[in-house]
Amino acid sequence: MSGTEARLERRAAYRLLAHLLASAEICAVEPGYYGTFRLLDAASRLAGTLLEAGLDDPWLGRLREEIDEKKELLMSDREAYFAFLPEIARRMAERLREDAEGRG
Amino acid sequence: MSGSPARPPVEAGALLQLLRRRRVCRRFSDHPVGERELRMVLEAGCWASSASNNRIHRLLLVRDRRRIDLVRAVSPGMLGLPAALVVICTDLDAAARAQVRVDRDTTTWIDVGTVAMNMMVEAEALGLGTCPTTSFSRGGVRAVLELPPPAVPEFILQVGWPAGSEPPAEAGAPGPVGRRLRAFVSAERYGTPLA
Repeated sequence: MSGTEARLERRAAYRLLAHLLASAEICAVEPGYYGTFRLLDAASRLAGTLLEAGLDDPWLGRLREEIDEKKELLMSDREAYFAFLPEIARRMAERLREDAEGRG
Repeated sequence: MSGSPARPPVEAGALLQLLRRRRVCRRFSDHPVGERELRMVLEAGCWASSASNNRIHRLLLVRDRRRIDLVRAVSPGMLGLPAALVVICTDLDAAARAQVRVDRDTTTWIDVGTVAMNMMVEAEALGLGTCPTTSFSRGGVRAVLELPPPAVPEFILQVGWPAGSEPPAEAGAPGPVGRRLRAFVSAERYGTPLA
């Protein structure tokens, strides 16, 4: 297994699945915009799980740290929080393209 | 400040100061919380007001890291990893004995809140951090904690030593005390701000 791969153990995968399914359940009763927070948090947890599983990707580590820092803007600065959503999605897309082009 | 001899006054200003400084804590240190502190927090919860003194709620203390991990997996509202959890449960047997209709009686929710707030205030006084959690899968928490059928999880209080200072929440009505009173309090007629 190289640094560009990670072997996900069943327990870690189950934990992520439990989080996603519980999020789906509570999204039915929480304010609609909270769904964005749940997805951001899930993205952070997925990144964390992959890094813990051995993925050697400092970029992903930084992305996760930034998500963890900025997701809490929902509670203190909603304008900044909602500005962060398209910004982080765009940067992930750029990273995806670079990776597809072999520049990752 | 005067008080009757049977109920000597406490330092009300200090209590208000405590309430002003309390914030939700989302990052906890790994340091365990002592038995004494936890018992004080739990006792504060047990002294909470209760509609008609029905006392249909029970507290479950969880300190086992494996069980906390499992609860966190089904509780998206748990962002950190606290040293302990206090799960406030409605005891349906106790509710039935008190003839409380939990499907209709909204005071049961209020009672969950008073128990939680008492614990949060006591924890704050001890220097502990707390985070109230309602965003969790009810069925999920019941399953991972193997709760008996009459115990319905309503609220999870995360308790631990804060890892760092939390920024004050600015949403809603922030800041100075006077502004807060004006934002939330009416005098005599609803919508007439307190002078």
